[in-house]
Amino acid sequence: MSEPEYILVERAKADPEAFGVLYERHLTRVYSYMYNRTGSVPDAEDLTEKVFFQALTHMRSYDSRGIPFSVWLLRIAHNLVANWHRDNSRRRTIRLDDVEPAGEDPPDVERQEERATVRKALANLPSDRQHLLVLKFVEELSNSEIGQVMGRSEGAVKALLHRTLISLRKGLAVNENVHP
Amino acid sequence: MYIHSISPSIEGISRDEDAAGWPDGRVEDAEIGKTVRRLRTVLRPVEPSPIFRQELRLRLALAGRRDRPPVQVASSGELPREVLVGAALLSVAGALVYLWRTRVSHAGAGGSVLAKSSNLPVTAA
Repeated sequence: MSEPEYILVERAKADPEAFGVLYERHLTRVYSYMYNRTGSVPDAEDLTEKVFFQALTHMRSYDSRGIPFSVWLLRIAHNLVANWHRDNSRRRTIRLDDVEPAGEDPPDVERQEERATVRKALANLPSDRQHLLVLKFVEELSNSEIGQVMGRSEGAVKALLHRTLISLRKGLAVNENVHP
Repeated sequence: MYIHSISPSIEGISRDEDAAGWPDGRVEDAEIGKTVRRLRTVLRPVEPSPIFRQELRLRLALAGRRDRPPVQVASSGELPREVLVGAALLSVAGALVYLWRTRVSHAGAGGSVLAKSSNLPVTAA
């Protein structure tokens, strides 16, 4: 049976081995977030590394009785991505390299075009809305958990999600009209 | 895996909410469901490469050992055994030194008294 997270977190404050277990548990989540926010493997790797080093450095200041460890990591990730977009002036760029997840068949032309359309509409959304969609559809967090990451109430997240999906739908319709 | 998230069961995107303010809530609901399905063709979990996973774990382990906090001595009730034994030995050694010095000084003081007593003026009885 795996060790409960709150015990592991307390041990990880002094024990690098325990931090390694936390790393294994949360790596894919953080990496997925970074890949879907930056759209490139090298940037996702670079930022994922920064997230875990920051977590290691500030581990002793983390209070496990507050927010869950995964939420804490995603807050660090969000701040780093925000800085990354600002520093690189690529806020609206979601490249999502032509790298398909392992085990997937090569996409046909039609599917590639469809994805390009969705990416374009997604990239036109404000950064906080892209952040919300990644938390919802990649990390599969509940609205309450998203609220903890974004510092908003559950109701505010629900409303924002609704507005965001409607904006995205409109954006997709515009793109389809421009490039039918 | 993702079916539960597709409209109308997307948390936060209820049928009632969609229906409010729209001429036909069901149409809107279906449109949002379609948007979510399209979104999922782009946004999805991705696994990092095994090499990256392993290398980063190693680097974190090295950094963790380097920056390991010193052993905390929080209160006297939680003093490590080595510290207690060392303190006891020092106390015993201190006591022995004190006793030895006391005996030496007493012996010295006793000798001088005898020496002085021989120089005392002899008084006539």
